[in-house]
Amino acid sequence: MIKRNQWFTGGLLIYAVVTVAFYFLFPDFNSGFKQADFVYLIASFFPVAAVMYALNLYGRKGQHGSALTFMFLSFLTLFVGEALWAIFEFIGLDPYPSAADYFYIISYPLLFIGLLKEWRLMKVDWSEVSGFSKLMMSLITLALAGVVGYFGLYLAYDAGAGALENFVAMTYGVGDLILLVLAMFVLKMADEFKGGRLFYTWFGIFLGLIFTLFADIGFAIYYEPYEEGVFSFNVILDFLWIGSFMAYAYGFYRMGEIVKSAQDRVLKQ
Amino acid sequence: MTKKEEITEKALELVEEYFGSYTKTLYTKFYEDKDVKTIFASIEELLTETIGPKKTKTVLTPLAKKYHLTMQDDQA
Repeated sequence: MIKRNQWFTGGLLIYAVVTVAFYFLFPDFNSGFKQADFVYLIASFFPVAAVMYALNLYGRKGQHGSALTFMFLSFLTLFVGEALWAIFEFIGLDPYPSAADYFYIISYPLLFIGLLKEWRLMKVDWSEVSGFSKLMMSLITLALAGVVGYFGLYLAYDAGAGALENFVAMTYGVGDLILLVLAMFVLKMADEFKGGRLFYTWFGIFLGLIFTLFADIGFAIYYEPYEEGVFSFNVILDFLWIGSFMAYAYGFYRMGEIVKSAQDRVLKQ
Repeated sequence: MTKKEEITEKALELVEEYFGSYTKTLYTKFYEDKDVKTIFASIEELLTETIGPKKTKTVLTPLAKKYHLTMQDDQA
């Protein structure tokens, strides 16, 4: 018998194959709205549905309910941002900067609050991390923070652009720094549960954060070729964002499945 | 507080911590007519599967020591 997990993973894989086919069959990236935007938009809804699934199983009451509500709102605002971006492109308006950016930007602090609440609930033990590991993690974080700071904050400032455009561009840099810190915390959380099913949840979410971070850094560096419709930049950056949506969805779906199986044990007796 | 009450309370606390408030409600009923050993074995199995054997040991060892309960790992 095929388990629910296998159906879900199989569904994600089929979606991935269809997405790759769409991008290579309709490479019309210089025409504003593109056919591939449809599949991209579908992907951005995956984490919304997955968090909703986990939230329903955990229940809205209590600390988990509160943490997951923040994460649900984060992915919902991200989805609204993606939808607005697609609509603006469809009607021929320049989507950057636009109302879509406000929704993207709001999603960062919401995710930060939600994950921080989960982090506190999971009572992660730092005492077992060796001094060397802590040093390596700090160095990697600092190096990546340097890259994000340089491309996402320093180079994002354009003296010729308007105040709003600069504000939006630099806020993404701050958002990416938030993602970076979160990614390190979430990686530790995954490590804490090695050998258990929660490892897959947190590792999926870690991958989601890292893919988003790399896509955002890439967008900050290669904004022009991306907007001009250069095929390789569109494919790489879009695939990173789509990959992040799929990884988040996988993580939160697994989180819901863990709770479901704990409940089933009792309900089936 | 009796031995059963204390172990049930700790087990339910852990159920809520990792599986949320609704699951805790289900387990509250489930544990009502169970003995101490069954409750402890149930929470140990649930946690081992979810958070891994290492973290489960860290979480449950103080309780196991206090009430002289045997963990699966110790039996092996």
